[in-house]
Amino acid sequence: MFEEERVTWRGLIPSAVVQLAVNVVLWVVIPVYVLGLISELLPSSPLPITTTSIIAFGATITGLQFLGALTEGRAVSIPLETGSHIALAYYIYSAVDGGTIALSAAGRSLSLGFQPLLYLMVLPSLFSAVRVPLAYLTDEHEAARPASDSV
Amino acid sequence: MKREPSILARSLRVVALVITVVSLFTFSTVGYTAYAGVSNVISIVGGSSPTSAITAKTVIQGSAATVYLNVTLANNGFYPIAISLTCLPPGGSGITCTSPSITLPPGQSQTLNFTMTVENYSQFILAGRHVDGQLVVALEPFASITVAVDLGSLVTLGGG
Repeated sequence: MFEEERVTWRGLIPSAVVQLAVNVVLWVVIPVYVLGLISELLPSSPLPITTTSIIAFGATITGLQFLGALTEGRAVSIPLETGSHIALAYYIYSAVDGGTIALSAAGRSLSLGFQPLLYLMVLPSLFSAVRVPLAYLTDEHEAARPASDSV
Repeated sequence: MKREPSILARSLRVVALVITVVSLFTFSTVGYTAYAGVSNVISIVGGSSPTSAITAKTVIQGSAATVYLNVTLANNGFYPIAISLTCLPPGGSGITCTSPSITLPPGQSQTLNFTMTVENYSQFILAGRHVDGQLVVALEPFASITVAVDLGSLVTLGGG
């Protein structure tokens, strides 16, 4: 027989707030700062992402992660966490224009191609998007199975 | 008793960890190789590299000029570096050139030999000395950088 571990709001809120702060810094503050630096260095280059889209992606990922942390241990947290991982993978993919970036500065043009590295960048997020629901489903399945000593 | 995660859940966690470790290892080694390559190019320009060098000279014979460019590069990184130089002269310009390419295995050095012949040198100078070229440097198999270069500027690099 399993005993359900009691999850209280008092325990969930601090960790959710920490997640919120970390996600805002990681997916909004740092990317906006880096984009500003690149825009100053290469004013004539069209960049694949704008400040607005960074904020939109950042808000989506942060919101999903925050809600996922608040509902941790409940079934509703699974789609929230999965959604945040998928949003993160798409954010990375679109931020680097699918791994091909064309830049121009001082009359010189330059093209960067790094698709294999991009796949490595998004792979952990995509794998997590699969792992989270799968792990939840198998754990539920194990919990539902009767113990070996039961009649 | 607290519920233990299933074997599958634990296996998935291990796979996620392996993916993260492999990604970190790949990014750090690719970063180091790129850094070593850039340092090498900077030391060539500064003339302080013992293993790498760049030489260019222009030989004029009658109305024709031939440019010889030899670039010796060492790869101090972990991955092979492929370098190719493509010349795109305008049709009917009387300019012919080679399109060399080399692949530098880690820890080795090689020389890229480029030759460009301009049949009518004086006309070429008057026309503005412009020959489109493309330099591709690839960090096999992860990334590549393509730079548009003006190969016509090499004509004056080695002097007349």
